[in-house]
Amino acid sequence: MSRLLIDLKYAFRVLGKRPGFTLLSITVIAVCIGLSLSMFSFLNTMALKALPLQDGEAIVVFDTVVEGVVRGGNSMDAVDFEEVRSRVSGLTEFVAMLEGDVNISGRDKVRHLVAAKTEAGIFEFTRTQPVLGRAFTVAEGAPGAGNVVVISHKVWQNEFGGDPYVLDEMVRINGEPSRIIGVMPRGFHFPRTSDLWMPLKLDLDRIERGEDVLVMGVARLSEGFSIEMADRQVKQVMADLSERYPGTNLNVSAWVTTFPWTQMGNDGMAIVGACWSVALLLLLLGGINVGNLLLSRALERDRETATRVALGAPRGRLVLQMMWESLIIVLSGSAIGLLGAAWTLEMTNALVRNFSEEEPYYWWTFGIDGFTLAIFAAMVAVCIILAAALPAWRASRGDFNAVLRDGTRGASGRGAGRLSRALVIMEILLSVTILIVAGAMISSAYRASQVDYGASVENILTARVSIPEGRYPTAFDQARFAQDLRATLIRSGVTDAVALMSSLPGTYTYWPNYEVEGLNYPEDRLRPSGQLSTVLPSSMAVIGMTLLDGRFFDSRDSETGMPSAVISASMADLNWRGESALGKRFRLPGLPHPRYPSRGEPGPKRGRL
Amino acid sequence: MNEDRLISLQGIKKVFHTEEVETHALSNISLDIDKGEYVSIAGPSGCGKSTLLSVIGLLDTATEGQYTLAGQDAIEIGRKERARIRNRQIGFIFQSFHLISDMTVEENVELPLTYRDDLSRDDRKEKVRVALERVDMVHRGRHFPSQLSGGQQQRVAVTRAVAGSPLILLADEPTGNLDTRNAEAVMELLDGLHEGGATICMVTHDPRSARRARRGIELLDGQIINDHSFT
Repeated sequence: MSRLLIDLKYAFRVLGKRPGFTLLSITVIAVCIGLSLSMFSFLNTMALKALPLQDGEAIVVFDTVVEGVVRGGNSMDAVDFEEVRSRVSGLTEFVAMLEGDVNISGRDKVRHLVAAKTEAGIFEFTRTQPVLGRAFTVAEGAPGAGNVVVISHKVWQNEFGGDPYVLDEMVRINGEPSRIIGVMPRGFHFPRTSDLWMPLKLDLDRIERGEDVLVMGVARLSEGFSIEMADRQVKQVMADLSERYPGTNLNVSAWVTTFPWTQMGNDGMAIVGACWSVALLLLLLGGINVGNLLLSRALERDRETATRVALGAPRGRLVLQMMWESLIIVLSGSAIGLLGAAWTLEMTNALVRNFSEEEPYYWWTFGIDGFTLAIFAAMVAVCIILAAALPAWRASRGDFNAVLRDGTRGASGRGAGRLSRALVIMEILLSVTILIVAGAMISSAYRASQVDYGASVENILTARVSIPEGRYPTAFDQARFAQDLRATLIRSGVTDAVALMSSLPGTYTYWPNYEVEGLNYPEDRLRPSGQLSTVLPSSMAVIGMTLLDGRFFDSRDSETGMPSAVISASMADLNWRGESALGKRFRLPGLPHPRYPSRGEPGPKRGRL
Repeated sequence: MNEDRLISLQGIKKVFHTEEVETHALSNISLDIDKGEYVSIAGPSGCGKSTLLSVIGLLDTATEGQYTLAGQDAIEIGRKERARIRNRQIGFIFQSFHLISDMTVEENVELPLTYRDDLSRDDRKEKVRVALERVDMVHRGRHFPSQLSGGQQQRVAVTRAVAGSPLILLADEPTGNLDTRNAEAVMELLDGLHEGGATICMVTHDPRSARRARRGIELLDGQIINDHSFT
């Protein structure tokens, strides 16, 4: 023990005598570990971490993939869901649900919240029961049953002041009276950001294929099944359905994944892989940099090492003694890096909550968790090998006899020189790789920021409005509401122009197949598809969209009663290349009310979307 | 077997290979050193003096030949055992002192003792104290080498070499970096150690220092050309 203290004391003394070197080395390790750890932990929490529920790692979601494009939630046909539920053994405890926006009128104001309509049993599924009241029953999910709602702890506190007598109080949800029957524990927002849970009043047994009733399927992995195995089974079922029902299911598949992973979409693995690769490269670069510095220092001190060898230092003790300084540097840097990562992740929590447009997902609690600590331990081990063990081992293998004989330096052997050169080459390679990856990322980000959405983004404020179906049941009602809203906003003087549309340019929206009039589609899969957005007349001009040909919507379109459309340049090129698309007609067979563009004047317009 | 025989070298050869050049540093060296002897090894530069000392001190291995140290075969032993023998049975004194600059005088003297498992902290401290008292350097115990003169540094190096009571002291040009006065002081120190029973083998090219020994060995081109007693 006293020998250990002697070596440690000596190591601290040596480091203290070279504060610049010590500080630089510790800083390099701290920065590299801090950044890498933050990146690993951030992405893990974002996309890979198990849900913070009992046996949360077994909870999966399955949703549709249409023509290879992953659909984001609430997109699985309810009939397909039933098929999957009955035929996939790799999943169990199936629950169909929908997550969406609602307006809730509480005691004193109307709030816009996210609600989950779900089959009964969702709380058993999540292994979480209300802290107050009860969950809803199967009977309460039957069509015609009275409306009931379970509220989140946050809503209970914010809207009802934590009133213990909140149960049985009536609230209006999208205009419909609902009775509060339970309060969930703090932090429960399953499946993503829900604050309200209501029965999904669907009789799934009676729904026919083609009715276009969509749900989101959640389930738990059966014992002994992995996500990949369950995914294969679900895909097999969907492939069978695609073959049996090409009219509705052609090119429609599904994927099984975790809730955190759903937000990553098609390119999730590439994004996570690229970010983690950069983090790993950064760590390696830091470790090798400090390793090379310490190797150079060890070689500079080969007289001391030679003296120790002559005095009979055992090799192990020699290596350990040389490692102490490196260990102190690596461990100090790592500890500072860990603190830095903890601070960064804590700041990330604040940033996410303050700057996110929507409520952050409930599993987005960034911080030092088990995964982060495990990665941290691995990073420290890598740094110890690169920056401590390797230099010490190599420096202990020199020709110390030559050093002792003539007192010159540089006798530590060609091996040490080779290692040093190899480390320098590695540093250069890693630096170049990081620069290339960073350059590619910056270039991609720049290109993304320069994408022409076909609309002006200057001086435009956006807001999202959800129209309660109960109060505005028909398309006509909803259009009237939108027009009234626009008129009210303009009258208020808040703005001089208002655009109302189902989705903003550049954002994902409904993507139906269509049929061009006059063309035959021998196979359904040959029908083209495109994103669909519905707008109020004049909205497109308000957000600065420009026409290549034709005109925007106006009163003539509503007067004739004939559906009309403005299409993108890419759709025009795809279907009517070399000729004007004005007056051409297409059909949307997937929609409950097929739409056609009008012929002649007013004809279909071509805009840039 | 001679009970007093400490070192026995028979037919020792040492060949260095540098790329395609083969250098014969030692050629057929046979030499015996008994306990309590004070031997000087002299010769011109490059004659193999230091190489011979390295082989005797187990810092280097012979290419051929037999080496017995205190009755033990010193050729067929591993790295770990060689380190143990260097630590317990051999004390080194170098021309350039080779004190560790970031350690105090006391720590430098204690260093080889810390490589031993059979000494407690108190034992080590006591040995250091006794050794420093012997060279009158106790008052410099907390000083660093850079705060000492060359002569004082070499006295500390000698103290470090003898603190562990080795069987033999190997000195490689111990006065090579010292002025006449300090060189004389160091040689007197070695004389005193020899009178106290220490076995000393010293490499030197200084005839006056060589004559302080009782026995002189002269090397030329890696061979012993003279082995005589000083009267």
